[in-house]
Amino acid sequence: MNYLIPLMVVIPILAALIVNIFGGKDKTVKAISIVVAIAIPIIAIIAAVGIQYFGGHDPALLASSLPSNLVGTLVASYNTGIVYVFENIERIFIFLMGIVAFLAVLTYFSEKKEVSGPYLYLIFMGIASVTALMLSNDIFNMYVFFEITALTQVGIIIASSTEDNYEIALKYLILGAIGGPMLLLGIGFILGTIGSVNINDIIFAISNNYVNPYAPSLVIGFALILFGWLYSAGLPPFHTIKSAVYSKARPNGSAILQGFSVLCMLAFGIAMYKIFAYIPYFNTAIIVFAILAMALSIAMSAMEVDFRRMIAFLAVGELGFIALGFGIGTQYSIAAALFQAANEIVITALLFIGFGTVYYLTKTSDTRKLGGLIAVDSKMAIMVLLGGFALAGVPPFNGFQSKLMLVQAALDAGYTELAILAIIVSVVIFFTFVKAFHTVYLQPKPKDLKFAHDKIPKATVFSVAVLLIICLALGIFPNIVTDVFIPFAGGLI
Amino acid sequence: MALYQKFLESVKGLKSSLSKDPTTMDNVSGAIAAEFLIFVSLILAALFLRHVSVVASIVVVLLVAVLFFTNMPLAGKIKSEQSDSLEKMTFYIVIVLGILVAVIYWGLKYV
Repeated sequence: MNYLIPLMVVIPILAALIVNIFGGKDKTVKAISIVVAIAIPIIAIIAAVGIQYFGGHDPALLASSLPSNLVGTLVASYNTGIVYVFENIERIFIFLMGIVAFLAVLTYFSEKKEVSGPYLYLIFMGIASVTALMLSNDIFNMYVFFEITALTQVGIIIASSTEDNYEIALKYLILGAIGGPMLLLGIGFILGTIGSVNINDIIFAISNNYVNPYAPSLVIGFALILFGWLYSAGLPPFHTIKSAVYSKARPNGSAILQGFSVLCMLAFGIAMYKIFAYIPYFNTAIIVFAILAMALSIAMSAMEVDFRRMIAFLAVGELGFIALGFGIGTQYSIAAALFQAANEIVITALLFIGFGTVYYLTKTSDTRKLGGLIAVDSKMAIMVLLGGFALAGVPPFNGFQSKLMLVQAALDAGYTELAILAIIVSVVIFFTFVKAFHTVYLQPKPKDLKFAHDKIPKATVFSVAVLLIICLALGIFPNIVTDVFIPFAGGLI
Repeated sequence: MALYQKFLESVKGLKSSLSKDPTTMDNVSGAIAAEFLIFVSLILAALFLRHVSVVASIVVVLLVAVLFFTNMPLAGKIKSEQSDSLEKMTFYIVIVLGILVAVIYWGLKYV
């Protein structure tokens, strides 16, 4: 038994409950939060690869004790309990999410003297949910944790106390009332057809022709789960609300929220790929939404004057690159998509926290009212600029490596037009970022610009520096993660 | 003096109203970049359809060209459609759900 696997979910849940109980006792809450935030990535690193059968329902052990009339049937091979699978790919993503969460919590403590118990509760509950989502091999269990993630996202926006946050939270809830139930309905169709919600059981039943692979209930299940996936990731038509959600949270909250979205997208994307990749035009459907995400979100970001919304649109547009890798559907492209996902968690967190310092200093995110901020903290300005380079895919950063992989994969697969599109979108991302950077940091400071704070907290500078070092490390030594992603992608197709 | 003060205030008011004008160098360059990106994306997306059907790809490329040249600039229109309005967001979500279910459910019968 590898108890560290369930502990990756249990510890953040316990931390969430405890920080909420101790809300008001700032020192205690801070100490618990920091210890748990450090513990999450450490557990992800030290835990051994393995499978956790909850309730001891290992199908191999149960097979010998089955009644004779069930031996050799489809049901005999089914998993009767929830199963968590922990491999190196889960290790990488849970580790990166843990690092981002730790740095976001650290930034939150440095920027706010009186900490909020409920806010930290929501952060830890969200981390527990996305961790479970990554580990679970059961699509209904994934749905449950996804809904908890969605609720914590709403809670984080409400607890952020920014302008119009309640309105956006309410809209996200209303739109989630369409996306969530559709996902559940799709899972219901699969359960009704196959009799199990375990991903391995579903694949076994379909690939061994126990059910008709093109049964209407399976096909409609796929359509609904695909729609739910768009909702969970924030791909079109959910890109507008997702970008609004990011822009209405505190910068450290936004850094965590985008990480949640990437992990939700990955977990459901991988599950969908395992189950439905045999369906004709499966890849085409994903590519269509990838193109929409890239074109619409990046075009919107180019026209945006609010830098928080601009980064939010860039974050959603970057999800399009991940979807594109999945859509192309080769081993190399899926590995590129996974690499891009790992990079996005780090780079977008860097930009939200880094650009968030502008909001911390001036309490405005309207670029028309900003300027000359390089004089306040030039080190932070340079780190934000380098983060933007990483996002746009400028060498030697990690974004360059993953986007290069993606373009190569598109060319190898014969999708020349997608390779060209990926390059053009990267160019527009670069333009958008440099434009915002120039407006905020380099143009003359407006006379009426007032400062709420004089300088940026050291913890925030530390957080951005750590994220930048990770970007650089993954850019120079991409094989740290690609050596895991390429074999995993090979097993997926 | 009162007249001078009034004139001065009117000039200040004019100046402040002009400074709110969104037509700045940044905005124009952003809008042009967005316009080019949308145009290129539409054309490339239409060309991508050649992997599904060459005839469909040709038809869609021609439709995109007509759509673009009769409706440009598209960026502003697309921006107004992607506002935070709940009605617009709900509309597009329901439309996409309908198209997705219809195309996948009925479309696969003809594959």
